[in-house]
Amino acid sequence: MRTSPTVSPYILPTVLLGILLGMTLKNADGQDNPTLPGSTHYVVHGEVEEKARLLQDNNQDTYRALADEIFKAAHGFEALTVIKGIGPTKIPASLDTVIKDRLVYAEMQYREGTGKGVTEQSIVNLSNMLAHEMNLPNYTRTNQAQVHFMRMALIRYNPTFMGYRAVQPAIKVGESMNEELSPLQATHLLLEVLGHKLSDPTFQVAPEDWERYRERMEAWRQEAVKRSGGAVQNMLIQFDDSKSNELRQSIGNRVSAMSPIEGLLLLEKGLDSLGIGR
Amino acid sequence: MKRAYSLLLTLSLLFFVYGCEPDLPPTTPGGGFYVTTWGWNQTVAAALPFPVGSITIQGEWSSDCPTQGGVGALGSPATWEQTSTLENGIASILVVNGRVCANWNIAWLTNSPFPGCAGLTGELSVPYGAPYQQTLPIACILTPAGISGSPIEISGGDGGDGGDGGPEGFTFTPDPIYNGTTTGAITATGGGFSSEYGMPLFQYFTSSGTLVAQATATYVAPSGTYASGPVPSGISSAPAGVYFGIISNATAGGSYQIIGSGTATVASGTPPSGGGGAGCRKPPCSQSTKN
Repeated sequence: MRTSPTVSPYILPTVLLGILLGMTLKNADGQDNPTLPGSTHYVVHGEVEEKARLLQDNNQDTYRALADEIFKAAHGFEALTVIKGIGPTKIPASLDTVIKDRLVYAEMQYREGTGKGVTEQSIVNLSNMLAHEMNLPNYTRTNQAQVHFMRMALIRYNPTFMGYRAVQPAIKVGESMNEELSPLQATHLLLEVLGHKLSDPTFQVAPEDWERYRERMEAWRQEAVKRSGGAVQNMLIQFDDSKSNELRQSIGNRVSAMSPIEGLLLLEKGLDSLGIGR
Repeated sequence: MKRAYSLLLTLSLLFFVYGCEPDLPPTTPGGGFYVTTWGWNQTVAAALPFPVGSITIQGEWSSDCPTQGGVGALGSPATWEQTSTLENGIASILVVNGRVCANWNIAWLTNSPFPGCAGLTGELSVPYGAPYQQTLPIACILTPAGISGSPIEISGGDGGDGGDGGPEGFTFTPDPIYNGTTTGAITATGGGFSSEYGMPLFQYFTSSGTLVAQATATYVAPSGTYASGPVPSGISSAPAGVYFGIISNATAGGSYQIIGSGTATVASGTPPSGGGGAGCRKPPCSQSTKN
């Protein structure tokens, strides 16, 4: 049985609720006896792309496998997960199943042409609502330029998955690419934006400073490429993790003080931010 | 006299044997931190750092932070050598009781994610914090040669020889593309190019998603690793900046399927004399330009 075509706009708040409940129901794993088994080389979201290539129409299992990979992918919550036990992989199993089932149905409906998509602006609204509710610094807020930048980065790594319906077949110069994403694409993008705000110093930039920052970075890169004559070198660096540490502390404190009811209220606000009435 | 000489000799020998050892502070409880390992290709525009596992890192204690407010460094200063494990997207090393509020000399011992990473050294600053409550991200980056800094706040280490590669999608050459040059070719390098159902399509979008130019490729390498097409006319009216180039293969049904994307930088004017403008007509132009 499938859910109604109007379900897809609820997907992002549902994911958000799942993460928050995962936060509030977290245990102390990773604090007293941390273990990190397993070891393989990593390709940026390679498993997500692989699962997207294996999608089969009307085969829910293939969609479920993609949803699983999206939640497991390295979006940037990892340090928060290891240290505080908070993140998409820490959602309680029962809720995890509900969220992914709804995502799978919504995605299949979208691809059949009977379900709605999610706009980039909706992701902006939801991200900013979360930053506001968590009382996080200004650099955790975002705008459509940042969300779109991250979407294009994801198309680079996941062309099969994130490129799906991204460009209209008959697009002409001066026209824009499709602002709407599928429910699973939107989830992948939402998690990527939130994760990079949490952990990536190159993305922890306030929206109003973003264009200037990008221009400065690109000017530096171009000048460096010009001076190097095309030669490259390797360097070992330590990222400035001070903002990420600050965020982890803030989120950890906020989440420990949050009750499940507050999580539900946050969900209502999420619905409002998407323009969905109570 | 002979006795005094023997004593002096013995003391000298003892100093020689033990005196060269670093003066390690005593081990205490209360240390422990994570190190996470990353790769980052700064040679292409708009690239993101990515976690990379199976990296062996060696850490050798260098110094403690000054005691502040009665709080000093804690943990063990013992040298460690461990390999990062990758699970759920984080590539990390757990330094059990590793000294916190201390500086460590570190070495990246694995030749990944880029050739030239192995043997890089640098300093890792571990600020004061509760045990296992902080992660220290370190990265082997690929960057234009001769560059010692970056616009973002990072601390550098020793340089290596560099190399190609990294999961950074497609690259466009020339880089930059000059908007005053409307002839010549643009080459996209990546993988999966196919001319089976028609030539691939190059489309260039602004950062806000508006299409500014597009062109159909005129050549696809038999290996499918690169394709070239003309400089599209829309480039001449594109302001300088970074654009997203999307590459699509033609499909059997007559539409296009995206196979990848990358960033293309447009600069104002024409290339400096002798510079790499869009004058390359014979593939593989891209082979002559390293990433």
